Amino acid sequence: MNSDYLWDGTGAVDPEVARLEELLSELRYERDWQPVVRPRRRGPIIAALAAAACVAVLVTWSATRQSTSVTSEPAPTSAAAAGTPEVVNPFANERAPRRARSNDVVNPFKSAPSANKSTPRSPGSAEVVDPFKGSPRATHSASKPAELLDPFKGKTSAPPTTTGRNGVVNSWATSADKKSLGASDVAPVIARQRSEIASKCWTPARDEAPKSAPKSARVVLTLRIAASGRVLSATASDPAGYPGLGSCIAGRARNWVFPVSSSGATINVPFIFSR
Amino acid sequence: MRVVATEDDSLVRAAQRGDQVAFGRLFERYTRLVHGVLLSRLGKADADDLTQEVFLVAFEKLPALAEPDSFGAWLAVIARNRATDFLRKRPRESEILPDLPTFDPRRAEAEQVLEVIRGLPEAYREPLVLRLEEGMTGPEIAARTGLTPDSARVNLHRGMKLLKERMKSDE
Repeated sequence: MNSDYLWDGTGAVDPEVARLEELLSELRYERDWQPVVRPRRRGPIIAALAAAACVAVLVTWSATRQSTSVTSEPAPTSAAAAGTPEVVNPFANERAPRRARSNDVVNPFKSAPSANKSTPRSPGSAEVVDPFKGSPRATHSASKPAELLDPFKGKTSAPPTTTGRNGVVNSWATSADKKSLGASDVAPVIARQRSEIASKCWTPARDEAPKSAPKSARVVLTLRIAASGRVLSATASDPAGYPGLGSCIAGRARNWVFPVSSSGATINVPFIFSR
Repeated sequence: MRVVATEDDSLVRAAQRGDQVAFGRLFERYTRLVHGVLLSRLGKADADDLTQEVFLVAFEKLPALAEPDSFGAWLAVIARNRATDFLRKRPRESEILPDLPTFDPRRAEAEQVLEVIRGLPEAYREPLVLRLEEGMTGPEIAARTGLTPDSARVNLHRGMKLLKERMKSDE
């Protein structure tokens, strides 16, 4: 047996170890929750348009107010115009709050400490008009059919590494960039509901279950989540021996609110209960 | 390995402050560990399901983790405890619905090998599953689980030797 190969995969390949590696790879965590590939910052083009929009708004604003402070405001936009990768995307900052107001959706992560720390808001950015609102580019994701996602079915391999301006990023991207729902968005929402699901759904179902009922139950909850974060539909079938368990979970899940995203998602959430 | 550990430390600290992105990164980095720990004790379907639960529990308890550099070992303990709890509460065989039969011969063979691994002493099971099934290297296993490299290496080699012997005797 080649000890180096077994230890760290170096040295001459041990045929028996290699065979077992290949064979057992069949059993890997295979719930392919595909990170949603989405357009990232559009680079200089968007940055230039953003800068133009900012300047236009600021000039208009200052003209109407007869203010002379315009020169102090465009500092962030000049950086955007330069197209530097580190530039703060004004749309990333502004889009979520605007949606939240218009849809009256409570974003549970809005007050998260890290949510906006990485993207400090510039003084003038509150006035920025989003020139891409309603444009084909902005609605690109929404036009795609909802993908079936499992929030916990992560790939065990490394995440997508293409992060160029016109490349892709995965759903673990920063909150400021976040447009699509990922496991890190969904998991905390569900985690907060576990105790309620247990006390309001599982406990009554368990107490009312016949003695012949199985001692464990598995419910897969399917959620269709809108871009606003609201649950459009929630379905779950009742497991054998526990009538009403699935419908109870689905009924409660309809009131859950997820973070705002660009296109929403359909996710499967398995619950396992045991007596 | 220390670089990896430092990166993980900072991710853990960020996640403790509520950084969802950092937790997402930890999920990516530690899924294999959690799944491997569970799979060395449970069937694949249960291990897949419970992998999710382990991370949910970890997310809830993370702020209480005093030593971020022991995140991997801490997570492995959660996974082991969850597996133990699951096995303790699991219904007897006659009371559960049978899994769907496996028609894929390779999958069936893999399940057989895994059964043999599960029959090995506990100290050997996890390193073998993490190495052979999850594809982690020995140094990774040591770093993630908190074992010393020497212990991980010994367990891996002794386990492999025992596995080969058991597989031969089963033939």
